[in-house]
Amino acid sequence: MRIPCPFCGDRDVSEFAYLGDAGVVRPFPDAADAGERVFESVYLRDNPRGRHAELWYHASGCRGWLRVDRDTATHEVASAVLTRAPSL
Amino acid sequence: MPELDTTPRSAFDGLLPLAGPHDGLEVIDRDGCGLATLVVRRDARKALRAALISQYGVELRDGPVVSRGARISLIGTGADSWLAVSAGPNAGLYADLAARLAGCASLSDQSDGYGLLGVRGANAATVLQRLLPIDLHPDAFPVGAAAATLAAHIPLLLWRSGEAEFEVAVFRSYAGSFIHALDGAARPFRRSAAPTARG
Amino acid sequence: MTFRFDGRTYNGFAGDTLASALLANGVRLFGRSFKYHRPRGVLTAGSEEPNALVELGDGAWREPNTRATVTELFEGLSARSQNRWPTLGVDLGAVNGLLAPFIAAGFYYKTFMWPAAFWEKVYEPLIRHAAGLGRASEHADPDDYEKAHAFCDVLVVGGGPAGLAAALAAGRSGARVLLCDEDFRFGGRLNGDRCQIDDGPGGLWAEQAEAELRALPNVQLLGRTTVFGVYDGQTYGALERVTDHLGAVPGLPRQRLWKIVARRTVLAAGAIERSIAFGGNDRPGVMMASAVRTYVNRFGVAPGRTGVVFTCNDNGWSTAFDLAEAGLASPTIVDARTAPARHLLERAAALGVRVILGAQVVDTAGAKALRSVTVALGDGHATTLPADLLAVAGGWNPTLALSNHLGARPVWRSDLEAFAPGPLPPGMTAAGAANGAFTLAAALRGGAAAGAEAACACGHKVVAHDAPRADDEPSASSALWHVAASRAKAFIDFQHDVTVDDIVLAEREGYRSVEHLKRYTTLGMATDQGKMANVAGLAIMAALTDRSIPEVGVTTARPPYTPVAIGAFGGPHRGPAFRPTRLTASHDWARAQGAVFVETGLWLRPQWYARPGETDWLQSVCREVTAVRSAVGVCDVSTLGKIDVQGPDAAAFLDRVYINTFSALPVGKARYGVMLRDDGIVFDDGTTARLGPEHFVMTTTTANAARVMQHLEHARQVSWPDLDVQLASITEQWAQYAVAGPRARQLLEAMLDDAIALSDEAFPYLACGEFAWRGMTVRLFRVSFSGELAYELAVPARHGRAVLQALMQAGAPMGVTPYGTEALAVLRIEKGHVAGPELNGTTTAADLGLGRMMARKKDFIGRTLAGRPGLVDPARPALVGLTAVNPAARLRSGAHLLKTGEKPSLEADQGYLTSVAYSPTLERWLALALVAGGRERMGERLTAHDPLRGPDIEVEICSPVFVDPEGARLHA
Repeated sequence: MRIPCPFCGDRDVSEFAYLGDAGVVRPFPDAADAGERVFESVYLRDNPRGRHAELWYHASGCRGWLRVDRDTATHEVASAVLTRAPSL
Repeated sequence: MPELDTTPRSAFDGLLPLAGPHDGLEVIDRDGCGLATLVVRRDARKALRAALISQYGVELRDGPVVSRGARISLIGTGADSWLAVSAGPNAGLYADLAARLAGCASLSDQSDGYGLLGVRGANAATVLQRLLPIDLHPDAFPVGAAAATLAAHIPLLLWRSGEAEFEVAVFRSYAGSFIHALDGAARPFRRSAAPTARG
Repeated sequence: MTFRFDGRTYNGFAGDTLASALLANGVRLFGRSFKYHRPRGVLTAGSEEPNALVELGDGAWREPNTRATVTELFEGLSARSQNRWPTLGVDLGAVNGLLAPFIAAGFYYKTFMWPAAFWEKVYEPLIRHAAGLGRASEHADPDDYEKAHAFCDVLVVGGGPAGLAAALAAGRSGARVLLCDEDFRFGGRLNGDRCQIDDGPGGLWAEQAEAELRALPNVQLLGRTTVFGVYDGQTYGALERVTDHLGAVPGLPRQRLWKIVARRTVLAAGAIERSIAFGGNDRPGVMMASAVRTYVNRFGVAPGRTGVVFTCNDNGWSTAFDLAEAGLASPTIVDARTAPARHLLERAAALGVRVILGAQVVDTAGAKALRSVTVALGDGHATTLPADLLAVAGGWNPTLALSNHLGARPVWRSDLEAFAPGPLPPGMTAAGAANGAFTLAAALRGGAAAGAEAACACGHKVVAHDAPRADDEPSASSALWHVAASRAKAFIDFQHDVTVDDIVLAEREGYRSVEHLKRYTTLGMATDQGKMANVAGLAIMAALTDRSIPEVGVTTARPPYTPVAIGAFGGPHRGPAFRPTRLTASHDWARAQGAVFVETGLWLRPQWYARPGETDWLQSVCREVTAVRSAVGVCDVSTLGKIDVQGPDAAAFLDRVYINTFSALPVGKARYGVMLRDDGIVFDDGTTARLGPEHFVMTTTTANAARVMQHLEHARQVSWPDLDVQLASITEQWAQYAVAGPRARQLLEAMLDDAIALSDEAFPYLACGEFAWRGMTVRLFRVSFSGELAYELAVPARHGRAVLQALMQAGAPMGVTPYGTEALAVLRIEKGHVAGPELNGTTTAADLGLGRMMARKKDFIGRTLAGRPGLVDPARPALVGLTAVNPAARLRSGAHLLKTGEKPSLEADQGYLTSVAYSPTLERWLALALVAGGRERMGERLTAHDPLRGPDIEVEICSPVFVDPEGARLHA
């Protein structure tokens, strides 16, 4: 598999580390239901077949964290963007 | 007061030259060049650009490319980061950069962190291509291109300084393993290949 | 050139394969079959060969199951037949053939189920001796292998007419083309068939095409290279046989494994001729019709003198014509069809070829070589023809494996009566016979079009060239899978001895699905992966179950297409180069001091320094520990991860990644910090020092350095992208040495002159500073893992070795001793400091006695889930110390704890020993342990139970801090 790193260009998957669902949002820690929401965000992950927004880390490249839109059935990557926009 | 041998030790001491000579390949230890990681601060890119032009005459480019100046070059290593490399030996690069770029970039001295090699010659690209999982064809990796990648499981920074000239920065601790891998990739071009028995 | 087969010396020619050279020498018997030990000869002239498998080379070089049909002859080649005992001619295993009724499909499953004890003692050794293919060398692979990367616009797989046409079309446009062919001669079928292109022989055209391609700078040709696998992201695996055909070449590897990334790929892998299942279709002398043409036309070898061609298509006729034109005794054509095209009949008549129509071969005869064939005639009678060669033309199957590696299935084309490519992997197109274009003109046209289209898709302008001219030869065909009238064994999978009867049996017993069929009969599971067998097996199952072939379906094709040595996948990464090794700046010095090294991740660290006369590691380690506790020791801690954390928000950032607070840390001070994972479990620990208001230096454990960096970058880029903080790994910039022991200050004062004041008032515990010393910038941290008065001195890595030597020189009067990771571990266990065995992915900060570090007034990673009831349960295992009640008893890490008198069981488990050391300071074994509710159980006695290594030992729970609990040494 290859991932089009927005900084480095097309690279082999062996340069990247996988984290998981990019849709998980870290809850505000002082919210009343923070415990439940963090529990859900840490443990209750979807594992869809098909398009999935995922977090990948370009460990052996630019060290960028990427949001990768990937088809989990075909491994085709529709897009990859940096999670943090470059500093202005 | 103990004696201290302050002779600088290159990362490649005792490892170079490669067992050669090779056709169309020369590997040079560029030890002594000042190296520093430079990470731009938030909302400071403009200020950094201006400082680099006024202080060093370097126009900072974004992306995996070399921003070349007379005294220093900046190798694009990430969206917000560069490796500054002095043109020649310079032990004071980090201190100089830290003073001149204060407030717009965070700097870390890497002069000892990386070993710096020059890989030169008509076969340089062929030898490096054996090891590297990125396309080194001049159309894909022209003069001025840079990349952070892996070779034989060893992380490295690579940039092309001429048609047949590459610079490779590897973390110091990997120097021996990298030279071993480079030596293997260069073997087909070794002029006095020692016979090895088989069969 | 001379070569040897089964001990006999033969002569052959350059350009021969082992098969063609042996055939030329009159050898017909090549080996014995897998199950029945039937005599087998050469069936094909390509990589699909199931029969002619030999052992190549001797000793460590011995390689089993090598296909003689693709083994290029070289001077001195040595090969042996396989699966025969004592000799190929007299094989006692052939008795299996008489037992054949008992060893049909599923035989092993049924027979050897009972009695179970017989399996190990009787059946398995028996089967292992009797069945099987070649023998592995059982030595380490002595050859060199290389790996290489390649990138191209257009990858062309296969150098036959379609592949050459595709490469020419793409290459002429300027596209970067990589053309791979598994043969050592480009041209594919043009080498074996008599055909005309542009009014000249097809072989000549292939040579010209190859020459033109070699002259193009944008085209690379890789002969002897099999593209064996398709992977995601348009990545391909290919194996180049660099010196297999040369024997020994100094400086060159045996094989080279290519990882190819191609924007477009033209699959021009050709087609494989299929056999027909009739009785005795495996006898030496029975050969594929196309293979006969190849041996006659390409190698100039007569594979027989009296030939019969058994065909169901026009293509088979050309074999008879070639045999006749080559002057071999006039062959006979047996065509299952009743009315082939008139021009074929006319040509046969002109060449004196006898033709029998509407007939089928039902059986063959001959002991070790074919003697005759029996033909069932259309009128119900049978006739026997003398023959030493039977050419079989059962039609063609496109070579589709690569098109299916990503999971797509081929589609059945009834016009071809064959599977053709279905949905193709991204970027791939198929051309020529692989695409079902079985005639030469169609292959050339299709190849050129596919090459042009691929180049175009890569942005190259294609200039029209005159297409090579060729005729579409007759190609009418009528599928014939199985001669129903045959009574004798009719083989489908030659290599695994699967017959038509086996498929009938599988159907009868309910194994009708294609996956069950495969596993029950082992159809297609041999080293050839059923290249010739699979489709025929499906066709017969379809007929048996009254389904169409596509309804039966196909099994999944997976890489590699042909076998690849594990050594090739390993490449140069073997032995000491298995993975990279990271060495610290003073590695050479440590080695010269007698250091024994331990791998920590990729790093090599001194484990202990053996001195002359020391006979045991414990002796060395105890000496080192004692030196630290009584004088001073130096330890290389350069491998600890070091990360520069800088920027206006650096302190705020650290507050979020550590459980404790760093924003309040004054400049010039260091603090121990603990990080949690999101789930509240401890992730890593280390000291972080504040060098400036916006500059911290974090240290991590050696093993976790890269993971901590990833974790911090995640926090910076994903969780809190607004924070103005910058990270840089500076692990490699600094060589760092721990100087520990009551004389540490004295040593550093002697070392550093007056560069820095080191009195406890000036530089107290947890102080840090950066200063100039002898022309270099150095950093000093007063931190201690050992519990002694200790410092860590960081110097630019290039000076690391010299500084360490200077430390040794300056410390000599104080008895300075270098110590390794074992002594480091003893010191930290004596002091109750946690390390890897305690930070094991199951422990919370509270479990480790660090719960009070958790700040209550700030958010940090892991805080929320660390408060879950399950993680704050007071009954959780907690860190305690243990000593044996008998001071002489040796404790073992990993031993589990039981209440005294309890029987070992999961329910009775009280915890376990995480770290154990012999303490020379206390002269007894000590342990750290995780014990349920342990902190409330001080003084309780338990039994340490180690069923593997020793007797039960009575232990007593105590504080984990065994040495200097008041910290007097630390603050000295």
